[in-house]
Amino acid sequence: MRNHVIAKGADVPPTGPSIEREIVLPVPAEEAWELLSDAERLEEWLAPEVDLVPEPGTPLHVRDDDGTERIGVVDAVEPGECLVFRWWPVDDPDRESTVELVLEPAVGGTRLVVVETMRSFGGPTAWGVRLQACAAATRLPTRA
Amino acid sequence: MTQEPLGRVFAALADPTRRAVVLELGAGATATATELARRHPMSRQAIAKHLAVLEDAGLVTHARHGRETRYALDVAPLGEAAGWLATAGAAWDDRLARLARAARRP
Repeated sequence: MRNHVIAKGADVPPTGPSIEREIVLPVPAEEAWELLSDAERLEEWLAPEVDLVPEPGTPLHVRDDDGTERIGVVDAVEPGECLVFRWWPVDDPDRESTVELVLEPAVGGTRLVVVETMRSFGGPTAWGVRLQACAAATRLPTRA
Repeated sequence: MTQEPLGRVFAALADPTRRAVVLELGAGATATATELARRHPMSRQAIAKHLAVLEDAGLVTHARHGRETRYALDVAPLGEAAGWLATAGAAWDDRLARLARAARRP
C-alpha cells in the first residue's frame, strides 16, 4: 500500500502546455533515486545550485548556470519512484510550472521520465497520468 | 486570474471549445459569433464569453463591419507559448545530458 503525502496547495492540478523527456540511466533504482533526491547530486545535473529536500510542502531554491533563480515547493514524493514539485522564476511568479520526475525499471537500468507542465490558471481539472499515480492513495478535491 | 500574458494564453487554450474556435479562425476566415456558435452546441452568448477570454489573451481580435462584428485569429501570442515549450525542452535536454554523465560517476 503506497503511503503518499501531498502538500497543501498542490490541489490545483497542472494544466497547460507540457514537455516530456526521458532517459534510461545505467544504474539501479536506488541510485537513480539518490540522483533525484539528494541536493548535492542534483547539483551535478539539475542546476549548479540546488536546495531541495524531498518532503512535500518544503520550499526549494534552484539557480541555473545562466543565473535564472527559481523558487518553489515540493508537492509529492514517493521515495524511490517519483518526485513532483512546482517552481517559478523569482522575478516572474506567474510563470509557474510543475515538474514530475518519475522513475521506472528499464532494460539496462532505470528510466527517468520528466514532465514539465506550465501552470494554467482557470483551466479544467485534468491530472497528468503520472501525477495521478503518485497521488493514488490521497483523495484530492478537484476544482472546476 | 493571472495578469501575466503567457498565463492568459495558456488559460485560454485550456478549454476545448476555445481551442476549436482558434482552429476554426486559424483556417483563414473571419467569423461572427453567430457563425461560430452554429458549429458548437452552444448559444451565441456562450460563444461570446469564450471569445472574450480569447481576446483578453490576445489570441483573437474583432472588427465591426456595419452591424456585424467579425472575429479573427492573432497568432503572435502562440509564438510565445511555443517559445516557452522550446526553451523548457532544451533546458531539460541539457539537464538530462548532465544526468547521464553524473550517473556514470562512481
